[in-house]
Amino acid sequence: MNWLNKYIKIMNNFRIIPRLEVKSGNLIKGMRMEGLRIVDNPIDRAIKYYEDGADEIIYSDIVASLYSRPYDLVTISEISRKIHIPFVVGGGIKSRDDVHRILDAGADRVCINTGAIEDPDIIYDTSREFGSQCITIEIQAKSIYDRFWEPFIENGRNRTNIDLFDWVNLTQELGVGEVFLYSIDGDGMKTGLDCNLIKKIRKSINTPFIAGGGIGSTDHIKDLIELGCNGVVLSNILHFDDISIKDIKKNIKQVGDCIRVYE
Amino acid sequence: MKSLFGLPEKVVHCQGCLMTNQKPFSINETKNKTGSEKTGLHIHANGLCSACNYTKSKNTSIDWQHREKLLVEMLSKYKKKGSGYDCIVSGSGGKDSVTIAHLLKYKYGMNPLTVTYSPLLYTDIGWKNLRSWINIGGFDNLLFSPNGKVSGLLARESFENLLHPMQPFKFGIKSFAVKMALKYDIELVMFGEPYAEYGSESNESVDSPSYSAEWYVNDSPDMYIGGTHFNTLKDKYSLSDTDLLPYKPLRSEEVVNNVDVEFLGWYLKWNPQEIYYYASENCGYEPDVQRTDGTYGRYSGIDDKFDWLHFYCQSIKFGIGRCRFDTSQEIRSGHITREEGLMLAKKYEGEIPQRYMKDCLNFMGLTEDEGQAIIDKFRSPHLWEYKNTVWKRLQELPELM
Amino acid sequence: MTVLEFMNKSIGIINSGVGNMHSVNRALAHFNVSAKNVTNPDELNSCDKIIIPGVGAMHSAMNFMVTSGLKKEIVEFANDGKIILGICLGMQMLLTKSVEFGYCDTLNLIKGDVRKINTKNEVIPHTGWNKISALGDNLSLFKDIYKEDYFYFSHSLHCIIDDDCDTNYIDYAGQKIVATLSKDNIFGTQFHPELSGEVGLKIYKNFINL
Repeated sequence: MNWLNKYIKIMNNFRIIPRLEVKSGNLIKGMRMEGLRIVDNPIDRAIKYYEDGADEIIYSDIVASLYSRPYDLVTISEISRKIHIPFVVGGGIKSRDDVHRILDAGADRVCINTGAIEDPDIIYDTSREFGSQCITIEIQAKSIYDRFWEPFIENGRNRTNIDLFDWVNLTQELGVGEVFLYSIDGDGMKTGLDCNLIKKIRKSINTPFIAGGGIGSTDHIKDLIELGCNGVVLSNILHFDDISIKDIKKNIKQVGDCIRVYE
Repeated sequence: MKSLFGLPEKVVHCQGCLMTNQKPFSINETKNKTGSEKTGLHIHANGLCSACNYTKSKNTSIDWQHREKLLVEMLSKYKKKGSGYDCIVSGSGGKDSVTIAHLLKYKYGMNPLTVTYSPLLYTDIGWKNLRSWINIGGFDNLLFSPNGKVSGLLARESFENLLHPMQPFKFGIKSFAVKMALKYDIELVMFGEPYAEYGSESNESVDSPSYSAEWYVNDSPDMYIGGTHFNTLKDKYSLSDTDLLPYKPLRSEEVVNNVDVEFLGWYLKWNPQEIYYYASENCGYEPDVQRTDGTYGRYSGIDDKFDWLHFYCQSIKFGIGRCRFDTSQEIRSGHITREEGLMLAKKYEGEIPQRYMKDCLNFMGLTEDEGQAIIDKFRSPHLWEYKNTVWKRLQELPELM
Repeated sequence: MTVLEFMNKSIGIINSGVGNMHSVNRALAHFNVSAKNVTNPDELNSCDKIIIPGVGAMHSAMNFMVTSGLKKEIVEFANDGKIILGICLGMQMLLTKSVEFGYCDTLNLIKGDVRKINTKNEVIPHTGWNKISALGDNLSLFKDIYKEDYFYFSHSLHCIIDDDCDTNYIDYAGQKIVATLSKDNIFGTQFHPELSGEVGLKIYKNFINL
């Protein structure tokens, strides 16, 4: 597979990143970002994924913003105690104090969507104070009638009427540490991601770029590696045990040395 | 405080969900005329409404395995040996009808004919889901779209007289499935949720899976649509009998064959979110592109642009809008707590459905000002107070003020 | 110092307000070791060895070091031969100066500068797992660590060393980036051993036993 050799020098740290969507202490999984089907206990899953070789874990409190209520810091603390890999926490973060509280509870980095679109200065302020490495911006993207891509807020609920690429570029200027693209319509569907969109974003940014929402197979993951992504975010295929992190990494390692895996 | 529509003057809130005693029952629409008094949802001594009490029994005292056995037995009476449709499933492509048809065909081996009485104004997502139902789910479908000129006039009439623009639609759709069953010589019509899910007191709904002919037959010589007598409508708008054919209820003498109207939700435990997942996994059902004002979800009741206006009118008349309705369902199915429901209602309840307001008013031939004036006429003094140029809700939960 | 006091080797973590102290504490807690939170010279002097974590702005961190009096004390601490481990920003702090957001004097325990990673073809910050090209196994901090082991990096600046010390590198953005340094009692890792899984925990185990 020659295309991977191109990327080995550069992309020798592609990350496999499980994502836990949590509501009221339960790990849930929706489809196209609707529905609250309970899957498992998030703490148990986090430990399992850590032991299985996850490179990072993202935890999203999917109702912190919706219910305007404070975080479940207990679960966050509990998970952070058990895993010794980067732990990213997001959901309803609107202020510098929110960021501080979450980092204090055990997160290594925060993930912000709605809060950043409503007040982009939060990116600037928090990256200056806590370091850009601490700030990931999640962009929940939807293709509007197959004509153009738009970022959404409030967990895939509300349109923003903003051009997605304008927003991506602004995050770069404001000092974001990483861009995380999530496909709303891909969520839970296992149909793969839109390669043109990924390509276009990759070309326009200098920061690390991870993507998710619709990954159904290792072929989908290889597509992302080929396009220059730095990591893939997985939920459905891991939560329902379609495939393990170990097997994903073994499969990818067979075609190139771009991933952290122990033989 | 005198209340309009004769609803109870004192608002009583259910302690389980977000419904109140102001929620009116499904009444026989053909008899609904201007000034009709309504009965409200009953809040029992235990503080819970009838819907919540029904849910308790749903979760504890119903033997669902046994009920499924009864379903299979009932279906076997109608299953056609050989080719031909053996049941009608009526729906617009929403998650409920999609799931009912799919279960009947692929799990229980029936041959459903799906029939659609068109929403007043199909949304893009609604239309997309209808096509997915047919092409991904795999069903034959008959679509009937009533004359838009007439339905626009009737919607306006109903909006002005009852603040219920969808009443003529509901009127038309009610007997439609049975009319189709009679036309195609099919003896079984399957619907989804029994009315008990919403707190209907009718024992029929709780104890039996089927509705009697009384539900879809009306022999009364006096028919009303939109609160106005048929004859008055014909004169006012120069309409013929044929123009009003879709809205004409079935007469006893027209029911020449036996038609059994059953509710799948009586036989199988009904859970709106699980139905969404099922419809999504099996029939390509998609949620709406975005949230629409008035509630938080995108997966339910998204096929008619009038849906949101309908619920908004309910929030004006009864103080119960779409968000309260949706949260109450999800509270009962255990997906959210009452507290969470309150937080959602505080955020979204009573939002004006801006997204499709103009389309709906245009369809009815009304301007925005005219629409607003009509809406304000229906604010009952026991629920609304006009103070400092804003309308304030009365007798509301403190958490929502 | 009494025998008992000597046996009670205590580890301190410098809390300069910009650290990722929690993950460092958790790594130590894995070995049932609890570290002292150090914010002033007295607390520093009750420790036998210290970790300087750090994520974020060098300016604020150094500002704190100066105003708290810790800057001077840490240099004394180092001169007394006590062990110091700097992690990420903490390692950068060991050098002479940093150029993030303008010029900033740092601890000057190791001669060298901290500069932005020059990048044309690469993404910044450098975020992810990397193998270190060579790890001398005579270094007690890196005992049982091998060339095949991966460590987690997350940084936009890197160290240019102008001193006589042991260093290990990784390749990134066409440059050699210092991944580890050690000079007598001073150690530094650009990566985060507390976020590098079981392999990273080995480094903490080694540190505890130093």
